[in-house]
Amino acid sequence: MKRRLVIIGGGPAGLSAALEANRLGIDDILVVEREADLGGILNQCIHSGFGIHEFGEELTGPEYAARFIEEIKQAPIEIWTSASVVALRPNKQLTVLRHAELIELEAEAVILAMGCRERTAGAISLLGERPSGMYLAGAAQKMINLEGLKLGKTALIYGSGDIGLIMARRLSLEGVEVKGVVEINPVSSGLQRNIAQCLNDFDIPLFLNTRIKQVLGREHLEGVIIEDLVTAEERLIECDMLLLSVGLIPENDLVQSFLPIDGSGKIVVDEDRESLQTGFFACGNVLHVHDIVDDVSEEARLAARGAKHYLVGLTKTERYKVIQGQEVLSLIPQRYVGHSLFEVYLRSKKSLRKATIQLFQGDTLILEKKVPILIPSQLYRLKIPEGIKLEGDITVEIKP
Amino acid sequence: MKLICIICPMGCELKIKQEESIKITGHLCPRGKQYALDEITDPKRVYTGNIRLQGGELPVISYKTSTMRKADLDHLKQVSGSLKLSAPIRLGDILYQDDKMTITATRTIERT
Repeated sequence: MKRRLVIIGGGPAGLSAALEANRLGIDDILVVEREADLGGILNQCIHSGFGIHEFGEELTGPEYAARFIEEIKQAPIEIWTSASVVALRPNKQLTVLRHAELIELEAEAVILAMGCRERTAGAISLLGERPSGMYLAGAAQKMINLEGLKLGKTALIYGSGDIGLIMARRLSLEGVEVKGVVEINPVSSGLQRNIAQCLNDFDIPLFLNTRIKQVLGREHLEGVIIEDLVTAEERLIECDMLLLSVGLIPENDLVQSFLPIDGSGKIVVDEDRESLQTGFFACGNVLHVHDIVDDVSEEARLAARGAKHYLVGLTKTERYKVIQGQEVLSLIPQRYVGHSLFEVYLRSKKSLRKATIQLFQGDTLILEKKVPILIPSQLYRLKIPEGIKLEGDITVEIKP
Repeated sequence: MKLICIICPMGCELKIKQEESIKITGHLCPRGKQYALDEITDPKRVYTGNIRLQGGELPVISYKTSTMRKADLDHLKQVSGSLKLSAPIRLGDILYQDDKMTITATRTIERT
């Protein structure tokens, strides 16, 4: 079966990419979604805070998803749910498992929108058994918010990223006593407002510079021993639930064997979110983990525009490198063509006040931007202004 | 007093000085100023959560409240724990309303 455009994943990235592709006049669009419902991770994110940029109002996850799903149902876009892409080949042939049947597809262009998954307990070292009562925070979120399960009475959360903070509030509202959020770093990687409204509002302590040393209990979790990394002081915290919120990884396994991936595990793309294998585009969390879903929707539109250009036969001249310079933790895109205005998304290695972002072409400084604050957990978008002619490899650096 | 504004993801650090009059600085938009004023007089929140549901594709329906007083949280917990609901429910349906808060469904759940 031949298809113009196949979008893998029907979460926020896939939905937005499909709508934009349709708006641009691409016909024959197929979205393949693994779950029974469209919406991806938004379905379990029942808290509010989505849509401020996209819709100018604050929505919950399911409401944000519904806005796209309603629109997509009206559009000539084919949707396959409960369908899983089991193989994807460099020639854009796909094998999809749907209704217990394997279907072979041949796409002209592919947009990857598979999202990300959670790092597991195996990725961090914890002493002790693996008793029941230990959950990945996102998995617990799904069990509580979509399956209505009660998981325990007292909880501790490991990792103070946004999912950890939001789950602390969620559990408190469900009547669970949350004994604290443990963070190995000196600062939380979550949004400041989540510390305020998820922890402070419920008097939940945040233990910074602290690690979980040992998990206690054989059959079921009985408690954990935490260790202050500055004072080396140890403390027993009794709890019957431990949520691990220790990071997210792009779920790009399908393409790892044939698409170039950078040093931090991200698919290498240009400003159209096209990978180095032409006709393959990536957007949303499968490319890099975003802080805000509105940014995912926007990035997906870039990928759709890129796919449109590819499908009408526009070819690209040489692609140059965007090099990660000093103090830059990560950046997107890692290549550029320069046929239109674009932004470089970057994160700094450290939390900085009054920093300067510099863009070099060779040794020549071509752009300098002063910013009041840079935090590793918050993506900074550096707009390359009109009038700056880029040519050749460029380097982005941060000067504290 | 210092506060982190929770109105949007910017997370502005608000400074509040209470002398003869209340002075608020650090906000990048007017909503931050209102938030700070509310915080020191009568804090308000929008809460989200789940309510049990009979006969639906899912056993729970997600909801959000209107902007309500933080002081009424226990009332919300009591109400959301005791409401008897059954499917179908449409996104936007009002599940409960009194003079303290309105509880609205944030998704659609069909009958099984």
